[in-house]
Amino acid sequence: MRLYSEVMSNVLKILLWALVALVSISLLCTIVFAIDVDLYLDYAYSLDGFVGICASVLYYIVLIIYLIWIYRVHVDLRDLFPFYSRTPGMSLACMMIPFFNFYGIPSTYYRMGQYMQRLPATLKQGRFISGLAAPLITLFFVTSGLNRVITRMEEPSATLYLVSSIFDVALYTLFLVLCILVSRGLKNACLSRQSAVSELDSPELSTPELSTPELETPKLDAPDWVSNNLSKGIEPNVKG
Amino acid sequence: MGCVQLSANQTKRRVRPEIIIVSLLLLLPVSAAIICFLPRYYVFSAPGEIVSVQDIGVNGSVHFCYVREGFTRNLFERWSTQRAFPDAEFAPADASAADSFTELKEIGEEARDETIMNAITSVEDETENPVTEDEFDQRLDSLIEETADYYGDSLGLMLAIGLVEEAQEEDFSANGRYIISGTGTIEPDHSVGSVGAIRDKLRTAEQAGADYFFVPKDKERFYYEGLSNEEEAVLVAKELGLRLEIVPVDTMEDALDFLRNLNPS
Repeated sequence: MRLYSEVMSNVLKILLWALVALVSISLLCTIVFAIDVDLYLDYAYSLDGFVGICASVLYYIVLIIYLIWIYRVHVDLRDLFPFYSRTPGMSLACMMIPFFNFYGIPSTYYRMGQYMQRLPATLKQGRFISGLAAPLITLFFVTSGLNRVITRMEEPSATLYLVSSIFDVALYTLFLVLCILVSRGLKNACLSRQSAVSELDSPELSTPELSTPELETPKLDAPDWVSNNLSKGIEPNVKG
Repeated sequence: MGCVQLSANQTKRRVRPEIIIVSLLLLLPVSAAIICFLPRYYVFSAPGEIVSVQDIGVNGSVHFCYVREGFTRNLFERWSTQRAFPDAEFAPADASAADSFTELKEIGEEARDETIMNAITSVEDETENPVTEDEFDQRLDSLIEETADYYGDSLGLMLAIGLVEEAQEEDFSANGRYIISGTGTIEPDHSVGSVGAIRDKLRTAEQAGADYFFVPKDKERFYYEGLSNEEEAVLVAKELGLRLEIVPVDTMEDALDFLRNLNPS
């Protein structure tokens, strides 16, 4: 069985990696700016501009992919957890409706984490996801606030630019971690269900309804080809 | 043959849809950035500020006016400039804009030094108070140093007026009641010469709240293409509905007469 969100998870992870890399380069340029403006103008200004344009366009691409991904993740969640209460459409509304997303964004991840904690295979991911809901919303609003302040100010200070860049890196890294955890959690939940089905699929318990060719034997600890670096120590706990 | 086919199949299988999607998506930001950094030259001018002659070490009350001019090499630089100076006006240029600008700056620096010299000599004539060669050189060097951030000769007239105020202990602003600004060169015969960027200088002075703005009275002696400073100033004032009063002057003495009539006491 293939997860509905799998391709989008991988796409989003790569794009978020790229975004984190770009904002990190931008942070380095901002550090140079804070230390010596002339040095920045001579060596970092063009690079910072190039990276800034790439990051701005990539941000909007990531935003669209993220909304598609969160929709698909909820389709998978409702498939894997039959009593999962939030519909894919509602999850989109939680992300997009202004002011309602104060509650919507953290509650989506908190609920996701809570459900994942119900399965032994996704217990760790669930705990992390629930725990990161509050820092996510905090970072989200601090970053938005700082960006608005910088846009409105005539001459923002180097310190403000620096603080804003640090928060940008932190926010995108947090989104990347959440994306990795959610996709890993869904994969583990899926493997867990497949292994449960294959146990039922033994010769003595076999029923014609369950022995479908789509249900393959689960592979334990299937390596995540994108997110290995960040998911060390959060290995799936699947009992075959 | 079979091995080759197998290998090709394996290679084909390794290309995941994610890679294709991500590659295509990443092309967008990279393309956008490349477009923004492709060479595309523009020259720009934007309102600057009015500067009190006191800021360049002259004990006077009048102001000279500078505008910002420069060039951008690509769309990113243009966007950055527009963000820094929202009133900037851009015109397309070619790659020679960089060289032209450097040349203009060099010529402008020479012209600035010359107009400073003319201003000092004009004031000597006006006040009938000759100074020694050493005093002259000292003042010239000090003014050149103080005005190192500016180029061009358009500060000549206002510098000369400021030096007259200093020499004769006058205050044409009536203790800050009027904000007096202006533009124009000062020539050895005390006449006021034509300058550029009248439109932006007027916008600058208006934004700074100037009450009176001197421009060269050059309608009869403007030898270049286009409108004279005097004509352009009148047109711009009408077009923008400026509050300040434009005062065309032919010579430094005209400007001094106007200012002395402003405060007969």
